[in-house]
Amino acid sequence: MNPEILEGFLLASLPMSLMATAAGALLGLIVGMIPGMTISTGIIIVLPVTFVLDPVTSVSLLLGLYVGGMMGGSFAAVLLNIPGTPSASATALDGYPMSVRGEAGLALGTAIIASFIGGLFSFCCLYFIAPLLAEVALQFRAPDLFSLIFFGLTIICSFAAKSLVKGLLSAVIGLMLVTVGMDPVMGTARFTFGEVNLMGGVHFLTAMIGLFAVPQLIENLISRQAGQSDERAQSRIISLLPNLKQLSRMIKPVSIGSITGAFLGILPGVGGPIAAFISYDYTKKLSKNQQDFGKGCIEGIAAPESANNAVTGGALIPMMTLGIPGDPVTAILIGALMIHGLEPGPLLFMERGDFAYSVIFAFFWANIFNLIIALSSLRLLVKLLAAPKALLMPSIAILCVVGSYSLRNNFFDVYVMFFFGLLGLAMRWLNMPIVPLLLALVLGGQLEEHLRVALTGSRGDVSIFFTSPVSLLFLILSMVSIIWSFYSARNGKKDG
Amino acid sequence: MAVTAGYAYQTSHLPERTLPNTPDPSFFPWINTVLALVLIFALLYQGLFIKKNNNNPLVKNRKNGLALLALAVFLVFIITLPYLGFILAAIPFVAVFMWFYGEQRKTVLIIGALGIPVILYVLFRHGFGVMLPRGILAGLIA
Repeated sequence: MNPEILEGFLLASLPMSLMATAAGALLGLIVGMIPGMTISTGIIIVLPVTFVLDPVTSVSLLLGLYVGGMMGGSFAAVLLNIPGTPSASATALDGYPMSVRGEAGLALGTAIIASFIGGLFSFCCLYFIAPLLAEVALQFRAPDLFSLIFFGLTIICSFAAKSLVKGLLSAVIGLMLVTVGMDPVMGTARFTFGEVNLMGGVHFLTAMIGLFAVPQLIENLISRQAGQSDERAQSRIISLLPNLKQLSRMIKPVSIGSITGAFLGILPGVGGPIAAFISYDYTKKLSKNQQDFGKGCIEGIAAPESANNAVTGGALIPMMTLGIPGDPVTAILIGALMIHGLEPGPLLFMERGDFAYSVIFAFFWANIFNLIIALSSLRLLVKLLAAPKALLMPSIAILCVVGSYSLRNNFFDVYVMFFFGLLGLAMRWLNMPIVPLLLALVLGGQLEEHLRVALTGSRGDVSIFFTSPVSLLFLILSMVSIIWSFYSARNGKKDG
Repeated sequence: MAVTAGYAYQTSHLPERTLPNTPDPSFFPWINTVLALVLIFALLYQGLFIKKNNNNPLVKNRKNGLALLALAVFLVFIITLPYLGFILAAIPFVAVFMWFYGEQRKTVLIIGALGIPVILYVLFRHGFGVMLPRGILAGLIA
């Protein structure tokens, strides 16, 4: 066995790492199940804590939260018909009818087991695929890396945007913001207006806190004013674990969900909601009892739940091997790793193989703890659905300020966070997706760097991007992605 | 469009440090400018010539005064934070936000407004070593 694998396992299995994973999973379950809270918000809340922890413990905590949040989203979907996270939307289709029938316990038990299997399947994918992909990615040169990141951006925009133009514009705004600060190749100050704090550029995490948390605080306030958020949970849970016959009915949907979720998770930008709905649709089409779907059947819960948890491991693959986030949460994880001086990408496996494997095993433990905590404390957790937002929301607002301030103990970051909050709010009100902007902030710096390094190497000859087979492949894929986006946007309009 | 124009203006004033046959620091910002302009005109075209059915419920709430008020309170909080210190600035902020979120009971408001800032201050300053500002309470609290 590769010694780095063993070291990674030991690092992830240290008592402190395990405690962090368990705490993260518990927090994730809580955050995921509270409607109006997202996994991203949960991560923002714990970010300041991770700054003082060592990298492995930090990642364990964040991965626990990521995995727990995915599962927690289904609790509110089943009990309130309000998905706690967007990924749990498909779960509500059959989960809530079961809850209405008095089978909330069975529905939640099915969701927990399916999520666990989906997560474990994606762990296997992560364990076997990530190191191989990293080895391939190590051969990439500057033109290849530019084309790869460009591909990542196009596919993200096409999936994230309801309006392609707005999605692309959001990404361009992100690319513009990335150019603030020192130029990555020559060190020239750009768009700093003489402000010393801007020399280092806009800190990605500060921007992210503002973009996600501030609009959510305001929108929750608006929803409250509109009287949309005072639902009460059905907190009476009777039976939880499915019997053998019910378990056997879960095999096919869980298999479909796990494979679909892990595969779609690898593609940047697809995310849990799409994977959940696609697996739900496939399972329904392949089922003999199609008429039961939507009325409360366990297959309709097992498929989307296994899919959205399988997405988590899938999304970690491009993050760890290529440095390209699979979804907003992995984008935040990249930022969190950068705080500790670790840059995800192919070099991570080469230079810090022990750490790379510790991330993989932390993900494994996150799934295990998630199952244990969810099954053992479900009855208690559902009571939190009635938690008062009057205490929760001001605390989140303050944590946003603390989180952005603690990055560099600098108030300038707090003001930047607020600016991004206003920007995020304006974008939401204009129906402009935030995710492309966020990902452009993550990838933009590298995009410019590789573009300029490649052009410098070729003495300004742009044909270098077309003569390298890898670069050409990614550029073709980018074109396919853009054309496909236009095509699906047109079809969507026709259908609409 | 105004932002893009400003960005383009600033880009045109970037210093030139070009080595032979290499893109200078304004190269990438110019690409962004062109892309932004193309997309802005596409959006303008969509807005002017393609009829859209806008059913977004948020649009109806756009003028929600409470949201603007909440943002104003948030802004006041972050501006006063360095001067008043974390605890003193956060107490009225939490109280107002709790009230915005529907908490009317005076006892809960007082306990929450005092408890949340103090707990978070102690946790982050003494637990995690984040140097949250003490402001005018500098001589009184650790």
